[in-house]
Amino acid sequence: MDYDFTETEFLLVIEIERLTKELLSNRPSGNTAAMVQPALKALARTPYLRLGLEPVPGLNGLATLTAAIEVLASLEPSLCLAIEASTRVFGRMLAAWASPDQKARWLGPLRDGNLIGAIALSEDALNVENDPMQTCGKMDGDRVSIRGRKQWVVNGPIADAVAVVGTLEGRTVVFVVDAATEGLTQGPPLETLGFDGTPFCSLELDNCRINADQIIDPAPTAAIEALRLWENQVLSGISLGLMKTGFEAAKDHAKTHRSGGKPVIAYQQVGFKLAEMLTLYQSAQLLAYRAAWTADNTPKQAPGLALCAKVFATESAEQVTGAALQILAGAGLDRDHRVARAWRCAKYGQIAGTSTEIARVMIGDEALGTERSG
Amino acid sequence: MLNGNKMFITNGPIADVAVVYAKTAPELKHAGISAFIVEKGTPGFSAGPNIIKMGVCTSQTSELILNDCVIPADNLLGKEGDGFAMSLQTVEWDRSALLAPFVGAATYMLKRCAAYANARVQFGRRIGQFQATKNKLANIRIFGEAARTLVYRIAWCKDQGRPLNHLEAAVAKLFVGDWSMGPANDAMVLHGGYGYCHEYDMERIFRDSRLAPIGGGTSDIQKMIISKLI
Repeated sequence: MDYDFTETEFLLVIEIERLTKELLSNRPSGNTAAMVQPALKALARTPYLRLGLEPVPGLNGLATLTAAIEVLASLEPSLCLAIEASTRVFGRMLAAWASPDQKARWLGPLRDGNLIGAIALSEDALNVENDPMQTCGKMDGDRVSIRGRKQWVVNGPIADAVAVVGTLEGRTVVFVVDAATEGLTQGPPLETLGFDGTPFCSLELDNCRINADQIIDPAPTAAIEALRLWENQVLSGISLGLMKTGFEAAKDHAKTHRSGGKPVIAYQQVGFKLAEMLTLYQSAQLLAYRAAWTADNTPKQAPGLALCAKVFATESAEQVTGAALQILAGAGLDRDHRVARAWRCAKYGQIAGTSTEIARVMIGDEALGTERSG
Repeated sequence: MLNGNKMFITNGPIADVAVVYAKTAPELKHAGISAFIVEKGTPGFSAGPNIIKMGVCTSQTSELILNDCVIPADNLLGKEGDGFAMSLQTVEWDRSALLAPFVGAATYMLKRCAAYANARVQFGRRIGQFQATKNKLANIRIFGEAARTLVYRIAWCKDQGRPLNHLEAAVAKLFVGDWSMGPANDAMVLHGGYGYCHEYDMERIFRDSRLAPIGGGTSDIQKMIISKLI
């Protein structure tokens, strides 16, 4: 693994940053959800939307992607989560398992920035790893009727197509349901602790009927494990962005805010705290990049390393943003301060994807050489 | 002629040759430090006894005493005044390659703890089946992977011929130093009572890990470096 990005990769990351700042300068007040489509269209002009879906010459796949997610998330985490849920989870599901016709129908428009996707995986019990999935389909000729309930669906309120994970005749499959399909009902938008600009809702499926050619069958792949891996990779990258926000804001404040005749960074209580923050941030960054590179190059090692990176990055994000708030003192108490927002967002990463607790059990099981247990 | 004392010198009691940094022009401060080769047996040069340490006991450490120690002028290493720059190169190794043993220790701990957890039975089950045990194994692995990546990055940069990035090196040293003791503690506790006994080497690793935040520049020094460089 090279421990440096190429000039091409740096230029891509710089372009993502520029595009995002431009989008944010034109943001409709308080409405991040309305920015998702314009953002996807703008990003489609770069290779960004294709990373992880297909090889992109000159770019280092998931490692480049992680750096790009980091920058995007540092500027607007809510927008980043919405974009990534659509592109990297819904999109990668299509890239990995969809038939050519299905790819033409959904993946093509997604790559062009013309489609917003959502993955509906979690149910009332949240951890579908532990509890049997309730959402199921029943064949009826060349159609399938789906019933079930999904929770915490990112992009649920705005998606053009929702990939509903459920069971069909004993197999785990993905039902791709177009937004206006009868029998699919959205719950009210959720108000969340963090990512308050990302559209979340629950979905109810009651005799929701789709054509059989809208079923994606990932067998023999372990579908849920793959979806969780992709989610974990996104959450690791976003956590890096939150740490970037926290560290840079705290550093700038510490260098300019004076107390007792000197900038507060001169006090060890502040300077040493910044050193610890940077240490966590850089350590998490390198581990996330390495996990991403490993996923592309030695995929067998990917799941365990991705879990290590996800646990470390998401937990570090809460610590770093919390320490940043401490350094900002009164300035950070403003609810809309970007560091306060980053701190509120940080909690999500430890719960979403593979939760921190389940991740540690899985890492432990891998060390023990055992199959996953309760 | 050299006079003075050096402390905490690794290999002090057994070294055949030492590189000694000494002030040759104190008024020049850092630019007035030079490096000299001093061989064992040189009159006026002696080593103190091995210092009994908490951990890393196989590595011998002692004081070096220079008392009117006369050496040939040819024993000057490089040019007069080059000593500080040379010592910084030594620090490069302290804060890069010498972090690798702690990464190795993490790998070793994980293997040993997994083997123990798979063998030890308590309350009718292998202790590896308890989530608390899996938690500890996970924490050891997460630390090991993060530390490995930091250390390999520095090694890779050295291979590219880059001068040491002092900020990156300080970050790596601080992480390995301050975050290694938690996994070492977990490894010891996972072994229960046996973890506290000499017969099982987890207590040795726990004692060894205590060097990490001290040797090669303490964690507080790393924090000072980092806070100055940012």
